[in-house]
Amino acid sequence: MTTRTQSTPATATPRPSRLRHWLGWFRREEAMSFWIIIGFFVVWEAVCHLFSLPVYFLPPPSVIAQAAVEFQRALMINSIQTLWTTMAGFGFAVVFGLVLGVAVGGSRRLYRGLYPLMVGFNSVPKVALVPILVLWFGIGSVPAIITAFLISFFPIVVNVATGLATTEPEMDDILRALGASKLDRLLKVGLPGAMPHFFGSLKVAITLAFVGSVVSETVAANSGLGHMMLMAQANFEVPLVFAGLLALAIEGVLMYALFVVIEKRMTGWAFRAQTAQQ
Amino acid sequence: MSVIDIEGLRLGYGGMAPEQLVLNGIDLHIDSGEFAAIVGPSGCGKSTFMKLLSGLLTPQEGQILIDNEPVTGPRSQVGMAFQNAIMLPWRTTLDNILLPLEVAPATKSDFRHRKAQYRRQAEDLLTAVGLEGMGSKYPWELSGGMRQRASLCRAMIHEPPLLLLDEPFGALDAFTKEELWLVLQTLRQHRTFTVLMVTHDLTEAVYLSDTVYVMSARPGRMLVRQNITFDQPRDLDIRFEPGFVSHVHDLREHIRGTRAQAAAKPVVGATS
Repeated sequence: MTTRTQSTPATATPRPSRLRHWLGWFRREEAMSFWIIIGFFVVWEAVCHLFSLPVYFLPPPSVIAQAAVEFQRALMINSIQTLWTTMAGFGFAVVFGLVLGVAVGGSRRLYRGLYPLMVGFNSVPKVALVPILVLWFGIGSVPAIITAFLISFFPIVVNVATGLATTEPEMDDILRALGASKLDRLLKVGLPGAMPHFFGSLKVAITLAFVGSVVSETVAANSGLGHMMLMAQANFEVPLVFAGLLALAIEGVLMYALFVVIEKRMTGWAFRAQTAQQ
Repeated sequence: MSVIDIEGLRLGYGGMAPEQLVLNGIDLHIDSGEFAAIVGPSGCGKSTFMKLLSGLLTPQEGQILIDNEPVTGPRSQVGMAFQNAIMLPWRTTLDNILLPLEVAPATKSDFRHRKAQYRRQAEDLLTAVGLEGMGSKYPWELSGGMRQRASLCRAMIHEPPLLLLDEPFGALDAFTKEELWLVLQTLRQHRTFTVLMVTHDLTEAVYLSDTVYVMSARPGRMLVRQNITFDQPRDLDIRFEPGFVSHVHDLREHIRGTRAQAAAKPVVGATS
C-alpha cells in the first residue's frame, strides 16, 4: 500500500489520510468479492421481508445470525467434527491420489488399463456407498472420512497423471540420452513439473471432500454439521439448518483460500513463468 | 580419426516396406573435431537420424560407431540442443545447466561432493557464451537468445565429445542467430569437440561447417557431401564473398532437386 502511494508522483496527489486510505481499499478490485457477499445477504434479507416469507420456509440472514449465536456451542463442536473428518479423508486422498497419479501418469499401460475403472468408480454416487460403509464400519466418523476420501481422490489422480504426461518430449530425450534413470527423470523433471496441476487439483478436491463428509454425516452419524442440520430440520429449527449451511460454506471458503496460498507458495514459478511468457 | 562411423544404416517405423522407410542406407564418417551439417527437405528423417546417434532409437540395419564403439543405447557421450530451448522453470539457469551432471550415471554419485567444482565449470561456460553472472536468473527472466545460449551450456556441461544440434537457432531472429554462430565458434576454440548439426538454413550450414551433407527426401539418404574449406574461425562478412555464395547456391540447387523428385511422386510436396 505504502509503496503504491509513494510510486505516484508526490506533486500530483497529496498524501492521503488514513481514512481515505481505507476507503480506497473498498474501491479496489480485491474488494469486489466483499461487496458481492454483502449485496447477496442484503438482497436475501430484503426478499424475505418484501414477500414476508415465513421463517420456517426461508429465514432472513438476521434470524440465521441469531440462531447461530444461540446455538454457537453446537455449531462449534459440529463444525470441528466435520472439519476433522473432511481433512482426514482429504489427507488420505492426497497421499493415495499422488501415488496412483504417478503410477498412472508414468505408465501408459497402467493408464489405459485403470482409467475406465476409475471413471466408473467416480461415476457412482457416493451417497449410495454410505449404507455399505455403515454396514462395514458402523455409524460415526469412519464412513464420513471414507466418503470424503472417495469423492476427492479422483481429481487429484487425474491432475497428477496429466501433469506428468505434459512433460516436454525434448526434455525427456535429453535426459534419456544421458542415460538418466526413470526414477531420476520422475523426481527431477516429471514430478516438479506436475506440481502446478497437483496443487490446482487440491482446491477442487478440498471442496469435494466437504461434500463427501457432510453427505455421510447426514445419512449415518451422531455428530458433524450434516447430522446437526438433519436434527435441526426434524425439530423445525430451520434457522439453525441455514446456520449449519453457512458454517459449511465458511469452512469451505477458508480451506479453499488456504490451498490457494499453498499453491502460490509451492509453485510460484508457474505463475511467474506464465506472465513472463507473453 | 573418425568419431562417427556409420555404415549401411536403414530404419523404418513399424517395418521396412517402402512407405515405412525413413532412412535408407546412410554411410557417414565424421572426423574428430569436425563440424558437420546436414541439410535437406523437411521430413527427410534428419531428426530421426539425430535420435539414432544419441542412442534413443536403434536401426534395423547397419550400425553406428562412436569412438569405434557401437551405439546400443543411450550414453552420455553426446550433448543435445534443440530448436526449442526448454529449461525447467523451477530451476535457476545454473541449476538447469547442472542437470545433466545430476542425472548422468557417471557423475551422479559424486555430484554433491563436487558441486562447487561443477558450478565453476558451469559459470565458465556461461561466461564463454556471454551470459556471465546470469546463472542465478530463472529461465523466464531470459530472452529467447539467452535461453538458447544457456541450453548450449547444458548440452556441453558434461564435456561430451559429440554435440548434436537439431535446428538450434531456427526460432531466433537473424541478429541473435549471428551472435550465436559466433558463440558456437568461441566454444569450439575453448575446447575441441565434434558437432553434427541439422539445419534448414543453408547460410548457417556453410558458415559454421567443415562439411555439409545434403539429405534426400524420405526415405533419407546422403546425396551430396560438400567440403567447406574456409579457415576457422570465420568472419561474419565471409557470407558475402563469391566462394561462400556459390557454396550456398550449389546446396540450394541440390535441395531443390530432391524436393522436385519428392513432389513428382505425390501431388503436394511443397512445405517449407
